[in-house]
Amino acid sequence: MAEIFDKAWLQRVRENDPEASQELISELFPLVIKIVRGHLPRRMDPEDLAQIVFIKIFQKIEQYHGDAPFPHWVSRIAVNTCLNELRSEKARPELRWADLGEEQAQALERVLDRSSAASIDQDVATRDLADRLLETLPARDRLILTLLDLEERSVADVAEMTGSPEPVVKVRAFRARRKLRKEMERLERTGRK
Amino acid sequence: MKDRWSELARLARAGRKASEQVPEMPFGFADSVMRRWALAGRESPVEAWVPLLRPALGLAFATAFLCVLLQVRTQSETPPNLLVETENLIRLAVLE
Repeated sequence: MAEIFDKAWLQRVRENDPEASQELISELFPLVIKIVRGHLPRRMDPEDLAQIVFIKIFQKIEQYHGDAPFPHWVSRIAVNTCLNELRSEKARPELRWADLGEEQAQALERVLDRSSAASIDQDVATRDLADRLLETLPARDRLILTLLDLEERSVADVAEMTGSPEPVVKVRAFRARRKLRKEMERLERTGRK
Repeated sequence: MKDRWSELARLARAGRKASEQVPEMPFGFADSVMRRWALAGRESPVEAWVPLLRPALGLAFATAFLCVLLQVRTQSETPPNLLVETENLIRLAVLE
């Protein structure tokens, strides 16, 4: 993918060449939609958010000077756009057992009992449960923990994508994990039958 | 202390991999982005002026500040107003 993003091509995009712009969208769509799906706010359509990301890319393309590879720069814009959208939705103060669907409750039981997941459906339910727990965190912490723990990105990658220094990423992740562990303990204490 | 979050995250990663499909761009997506981009460009003509407006605003403040400063200095350096002094003298003469 990277070799098509040369200076001449970027210049064509800057000059509003429709062919080059269409090419940019089709080349970067898989990257953008993957990021958007991973950090999608509730009740927001991933394709709609992806469109917002592409519009921002076009708006800011004059600011790209080739310091980092173009896909990295695009990832950063996508992550920050998601972060802005996540900020606009309120963090849920706490999750209750009754808020969980049947499959999510079973997934939580499995984690609390330390039994491993057996099927793909159960894995998906576990992912949904993780997303719901992450929704209790502030937007930036949620984004950082998703990138680190669910997408297995390095601290350096997360620092670059979010624009936060590495020590800040580490501290935020530490605190967010501690909060989630407490949240899970509270769920077990108060809601488990 | 049992790290349940790490365990949940490990299982959730498996869930993500299971549900992850190769994303395909929907038909008309690029055209839709291009339309919205063209519309966004037309909707905010003010944004094009922002780089020019910022220094202009700074210059306007600097000019206003300089004018006020010069006005204060000019007022403090102005010699006594002869017309007012003459008027005062006439009033005093009339009163006497």
